[in-house]
Amino acid sequence: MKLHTLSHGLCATALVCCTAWLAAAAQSSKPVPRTADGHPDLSGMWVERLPNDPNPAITRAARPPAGADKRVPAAVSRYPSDELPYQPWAAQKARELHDAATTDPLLHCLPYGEPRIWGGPHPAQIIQSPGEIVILYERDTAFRVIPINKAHEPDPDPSWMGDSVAKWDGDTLVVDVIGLTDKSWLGSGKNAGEGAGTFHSDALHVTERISRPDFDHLTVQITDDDPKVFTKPWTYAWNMKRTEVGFYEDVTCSNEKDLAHEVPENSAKK
Amino acid sequence: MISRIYVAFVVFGLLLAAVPVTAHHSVLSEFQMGSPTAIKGVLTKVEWDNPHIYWTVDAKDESGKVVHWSIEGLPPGYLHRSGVTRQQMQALIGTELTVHGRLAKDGSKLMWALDFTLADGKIVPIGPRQDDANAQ
Repeated sequence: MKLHTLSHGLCATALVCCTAWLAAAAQSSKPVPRTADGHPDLSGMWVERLPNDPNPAITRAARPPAGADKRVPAAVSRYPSDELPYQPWAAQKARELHDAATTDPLLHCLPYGEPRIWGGPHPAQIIQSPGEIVILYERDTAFRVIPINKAHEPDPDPSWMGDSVAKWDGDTLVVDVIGLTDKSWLGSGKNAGEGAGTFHSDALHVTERISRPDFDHLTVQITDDDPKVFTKPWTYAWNMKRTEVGFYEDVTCSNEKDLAHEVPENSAKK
Repeated sequence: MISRIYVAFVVFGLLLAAVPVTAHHSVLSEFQMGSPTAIKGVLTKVEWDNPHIYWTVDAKDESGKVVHWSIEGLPPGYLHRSGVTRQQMQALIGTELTVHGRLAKDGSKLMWALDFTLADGKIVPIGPRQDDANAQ
């Protein structure tokens, strides 16, 4: 390659990189919009898993049994449910549900429910107004209408999405959720969709802390508190990104073909 | 049209970690981990639907008989965000392609798609790369 061609190529590359860097810097410095009442506007279409995101999930099935491979820490388990602070009896039950393979409510045309509905490759849209926020989910084509600065319904009927009320804590919207049916699973934190056996009781109390750290990101920190099955509350966070791509309909079980192919694993039954 | 998405995907494909994406169910209890498999056949159908896209690929077995393979992949929104549209996929119906993916554990003619190699050699990633048996 002639020297002047190479130098032209390098200059062009530098110009492209510079432009891209400037564009990225401009994007991330765009201020978070605020509503007329002064709160951050959480409105937008948000998705946690983009196609070019590195996935933090571990291929558990590919792992050898704990201790067999010195490269693999002995504490690592192939059960996603072991990440949750289950009481010993509940941890065993979760493992058995996982190994049965066919027990996931999703395989039986049942909804994700709250809080499993968050995260993953399916977006959620927030529509914010002073007195309430509405969250639309691609998963199950579900929705929540959450009043701000109101009290819970007394003794709400158990439901898959629960009874939610919200209030502002500075620039963070804190959502309190009760009245959740015990028919749903929790997912496994960073693997909400994975059939992990992560059951819960009717005592589950969920707290969501939703904030918008910059124009393009939304943080949804979730604390699951279930004293009937957990030893302590369990907190995890979804880091969502703004997306321009809208919803695809998700009609429960309109395209469900997995149940017939799920294969139970070697049982964790004692 | 396909050449544009080819360039985009080769670039981001190199950036992907070799781990499975979250699914709406346990992918690990349905599909074999370990070395991926490839089958070559003609695309006959695209079901662009949540929670999983399904493609039907007609491939010939050892005796030359045509076998209908069902190829399962990620949600349509995920592919749409990576620049792959339903129209682009449907335009491939009737053409030959190679599916790189994971076989179902139950022995059925079902695969979990990792990527497609088109007749002209271009690769279309369908999900995050998982190139070896013990990718973590």
